[in-house]
Amino acid sequence: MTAPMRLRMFVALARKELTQLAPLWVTLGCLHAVDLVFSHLLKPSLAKSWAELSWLSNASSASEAVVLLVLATITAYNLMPGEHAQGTIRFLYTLPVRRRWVFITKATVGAAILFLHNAAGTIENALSILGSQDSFIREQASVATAVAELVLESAFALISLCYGLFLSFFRRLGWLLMAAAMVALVALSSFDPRLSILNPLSLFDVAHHGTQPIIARRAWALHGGLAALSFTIAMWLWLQGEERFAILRARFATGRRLKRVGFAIAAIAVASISGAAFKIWGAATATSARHQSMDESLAVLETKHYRFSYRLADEAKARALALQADDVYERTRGWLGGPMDGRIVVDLTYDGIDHAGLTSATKIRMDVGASPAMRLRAIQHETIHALTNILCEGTPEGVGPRGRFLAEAIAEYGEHELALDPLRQRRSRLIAALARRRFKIEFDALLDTAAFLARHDEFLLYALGEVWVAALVQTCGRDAPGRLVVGFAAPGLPRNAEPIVQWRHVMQNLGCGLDPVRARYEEILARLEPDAHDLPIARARFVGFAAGDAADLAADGAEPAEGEVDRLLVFEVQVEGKGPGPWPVLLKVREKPDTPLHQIRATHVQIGAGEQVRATVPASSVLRDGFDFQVGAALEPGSPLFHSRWQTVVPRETNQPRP
Amino acid sequence: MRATRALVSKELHQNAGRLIAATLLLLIAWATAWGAARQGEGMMSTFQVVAAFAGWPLVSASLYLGHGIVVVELFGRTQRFLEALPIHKGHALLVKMAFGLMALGAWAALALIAGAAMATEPTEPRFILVLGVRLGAYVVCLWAMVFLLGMFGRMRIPIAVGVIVLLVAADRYSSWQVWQFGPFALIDSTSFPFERHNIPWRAVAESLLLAAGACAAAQAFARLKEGSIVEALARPFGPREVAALTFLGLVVVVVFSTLPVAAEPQPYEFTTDRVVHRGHVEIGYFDDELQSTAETLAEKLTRMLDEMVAELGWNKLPPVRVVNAPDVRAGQSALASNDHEMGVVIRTNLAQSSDVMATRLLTATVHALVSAHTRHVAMLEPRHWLLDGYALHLALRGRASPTPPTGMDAFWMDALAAAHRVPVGPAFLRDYHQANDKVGDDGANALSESGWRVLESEAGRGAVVALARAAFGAAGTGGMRDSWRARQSTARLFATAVGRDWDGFVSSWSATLTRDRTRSPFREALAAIEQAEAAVELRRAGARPVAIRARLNAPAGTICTVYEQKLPPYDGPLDTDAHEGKHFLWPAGNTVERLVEGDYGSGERAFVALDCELTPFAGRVRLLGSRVTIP
Repeated sequence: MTAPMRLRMFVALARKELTQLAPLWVTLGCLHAVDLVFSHLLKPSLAKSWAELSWLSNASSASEAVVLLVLATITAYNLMPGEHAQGTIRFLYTLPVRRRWVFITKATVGAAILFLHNAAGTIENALSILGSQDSFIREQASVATAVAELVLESAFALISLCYGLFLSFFRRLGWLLMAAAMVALVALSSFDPRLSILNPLSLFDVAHHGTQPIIARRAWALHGGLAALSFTIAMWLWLQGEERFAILRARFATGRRLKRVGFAIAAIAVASISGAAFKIWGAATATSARHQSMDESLAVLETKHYRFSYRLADEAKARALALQADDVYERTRGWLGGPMDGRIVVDLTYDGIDHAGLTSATKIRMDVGASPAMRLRAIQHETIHALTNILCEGTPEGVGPRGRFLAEAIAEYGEHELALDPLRQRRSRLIAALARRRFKIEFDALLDTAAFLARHDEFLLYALGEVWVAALVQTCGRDAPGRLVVGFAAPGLPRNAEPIVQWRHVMQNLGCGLDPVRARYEEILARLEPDAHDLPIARARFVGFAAGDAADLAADGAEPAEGEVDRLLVFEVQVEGKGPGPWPVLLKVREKPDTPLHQIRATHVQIGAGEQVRATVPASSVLRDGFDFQVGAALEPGSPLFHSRWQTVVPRETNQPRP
Repeated sequence: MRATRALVSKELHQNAGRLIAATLLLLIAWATAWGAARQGEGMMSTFQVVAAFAGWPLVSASLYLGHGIVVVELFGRTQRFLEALPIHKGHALLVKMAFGLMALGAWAALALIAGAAMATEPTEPRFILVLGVRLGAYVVCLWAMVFLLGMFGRMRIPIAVGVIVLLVAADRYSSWQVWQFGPFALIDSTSFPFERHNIPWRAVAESLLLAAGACAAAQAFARLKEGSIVEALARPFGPREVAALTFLGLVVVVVFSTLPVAAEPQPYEFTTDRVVHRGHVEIGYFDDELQSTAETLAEKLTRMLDEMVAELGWNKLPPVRVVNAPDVRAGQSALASNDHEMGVVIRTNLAQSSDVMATRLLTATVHALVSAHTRHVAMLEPRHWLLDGYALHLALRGRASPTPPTGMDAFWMDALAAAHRVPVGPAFLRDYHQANDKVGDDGANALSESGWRVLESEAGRGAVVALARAAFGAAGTGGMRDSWRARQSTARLFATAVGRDWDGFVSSWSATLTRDRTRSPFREALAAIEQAEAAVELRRAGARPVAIRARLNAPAGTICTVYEQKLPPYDGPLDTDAHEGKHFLWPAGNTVERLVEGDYGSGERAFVALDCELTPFAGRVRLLGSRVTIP
């Protein structure tokens, strides 16, 4: 066949594919048209920011990646399975072209539709930019950025299409496989952050040095390779394996022995995967060496208000705690007010390294290994949480994830009030006052817990919350915390409103306005501010990487390396404070704001006035592309630390602007 | 009995593969859920894993099984053989229902047993009973719904999606909450692992009623027209049907996106009696010592707002509430809420009140009201200077003869100082938000106001009123009309409203400022600022990487402030309320070097500024404003 004839054949094939995919591209076209009409005519957004127009400038573009991934997979599913199901593929195979060119033409048409979809998005953005009257947008917009975004989006769509072509071979099971793979990837990433590179959505993770985006080149290279492999396997499966696969499926349906063997193999594979997962996760979460050699048998102990479960080895500690617990319950109930009654279950087998205790509904998990005073404080704090939950008949939205501030604030204030520990309370309040001044933390910021913890130390949420509840009690009465919790659980809460609006709504309903409490809260903090200057303030600066081993880390007082340390992060640390010191200092490093607490690396050092100390923190290779750190100092060991905010570092060796 | 046994055997034979495959996948799902729960630091109970398992994994497994038991049979038309058997018509259907229920129940029971076996908490019989009842009722409801959906054949997925959309919409747009209803409440992860004593009878009853309804509907549907409808629906969709359904889905999405949200928050109300009421204005002072300040302010605000409403030709004025807020910096106002219907709530520090502070508050109030009235069209960059200037101009109007500038008017001095850093011209008006970085809010407001002042002195009050009414008189619509209005150039707006040439006016305005800057006594007052120098220095060593070096001939003890704010990796207008400020006293001598307090890592961005309070200026004079990237 001559080249022109071949070309005509491919054009005819492409036209046929376009007709076949008409529902898809017509739908996409309609979506763009609707978006265009809405965003430019009916409900024009007059003040779009650059972050809305350019995903490369936005650190969280995961939703765009999910949409493209699903769209590309749908496109892939529209290319081959239907043709095979209806048998029309046989007509195509009678054409005088190689089968693989039929497959490649189909994939090319799919990729072209996805490219046009991305191009339409780019054009919509360009229209917004051209119509924008904002000088910042005019300044940042460039053809190079638009082209870079379009190229990356199209490359991602192509990668997803290749994965989709492979998955589509397995028909409906492919969707299940995709869902399972995504769930497994998320789970694996939570186990080891390095594995997050396997998730295709990580391709849209963009770090920045200044305003310059830095693309994850390793991830792109990896997925580019995997996509090429997927495409090759998919082509082989669809062109060669389809008939063999059909025969195998038929034999499965009829042949008993084959069926048994298949199921046996699958069962062994699944059992192995599950067993390995259990073992790995079990090992990873066995955080406390304390329990390695102790009797793991469980026992139960009941008091009037509690049911304790504990390891037999901890019986003495559990009994000591149980002796004091009912008194704690009675005092807390009296303080909170309201007709609360109900037994609290306390599980004393918690090995967490991050919190002394946790509470959900009326169940507490606590680490019994702490000191007696710490245990008592923890049971006090968690009992307040539990009784608060009883008071509002569950966990209302206001006290849920968005309202964690309220829950912790009440528990912290109650803990100080009931434990009558004025020194600890004062130190906590001084830290709150210093943080309010240095970080200008507005009340609104406390209500968005995730954003707050991305920027600040968790203790500040407790310390500032404690002052807030003190202001609430002083302004609205001693029973105000209890009434506030009940108010959040009452029907009619504007659930879609901003947290601050919800607070205003609830407090207004209680007859205790938000603003007078806020004014009181600020007064308390302002009064404490002069004394807060006595607190030591630690500062650190990232110097660079160094090779190191576990012995070095031990010498530096760092936490165990757990076999995955391949380098050390070196910092220069100093402390400003009244007196000669030395002050205990804690330096913490995390990969990103949503890094689980137990994956945060930390180093303890002691630093005197005027000293500049080099401190090292163990790091895995995942931190090579950038990390966050914060440093805190305390007046003395055991006192709460005042931390700097989380600072982001994009190491110089990788901060070459891309693309 | 024998027939039942035969039917069960047939189902087992047909679906054995599916059962085993689903069991294996569920095992992986269990392991993943267990691992993920243990990995996170918030695992409170092993029964959380059971609740998670009852979610997507069990729903997916039930859909898979339902496909095999119902859809495949109908699609293959093998149900005709069953109908031909000498048994009751509903018998085969009941067996199918019971078979699926048993399988689902077995998976759920195994999950519950595994959860109990791994638990580290007391698992008394009552607790297990509560969990069992919840899980059992949920499984019954789930299977009944899946079975009913299976009857709809090719329509089952669109119907399922439609039901999900309806549930989400009802949850979002009404006070009804999906997670407190029937099957959803039964496996709610915040109550399932923790409720040890009480069986949620209401949710159980709702679930069982739903299940009974679904079973009855499935039975009825299977018999409708002797099962021919069910059989016809089992065919797969053609491309046209897919396209039609997609369009239908789009229409539904568009309709839902335009629905209003049902539960709205209450309008703002003071809950204290320490409030001054004057017309549309309310001021909450909270502290008895501030009552007289609040009353004076309320009088001023009422008078000015009445004048503004008359001048702009507005039909109504929303409520204006001022709240005493000790945390707000002296002379600043923080906008708590701003809505064209519910009104404006402004937080300000009444204890720090002075004439200049009062002017700033009046300015902020007009700014907020006009912004809300025009639905933020007035805040767009080419118009923003008009709004800033008009708000300050109106606030200053009550004072004794502020125009024309005959004396050392402090706000006029602010304008002259700002004009030194950013000359008035097309660039200033076009890139107003960027100019704001350089001169600060006080400087930008004063510079903008000077334009209105020059206009008034050249063309009279009528021109000011005409321009203000043209720019801010029409209410915003939130739609296309706003977009059209925003596209109108300031030059045309000015020419239409005032009847003068825009370029000529800008030249005249600039010339007025330039003339005054070189005239005594302004020249002497501006000398220190015009000779001042300030720069940002970025350091690679030391814990504080940003420093400001400034030279200014100011008396020792002058209050200066270093502002800073962490910036995202892109540029946009700054929220000046978010600036972190550190005051210091200017030392003896002309130069100063200050390290910026904030902690910044390499590659992070910050805005840093240096403002000083100098006489005879009304606001803080900005010596430096810069956006930097930490090396």
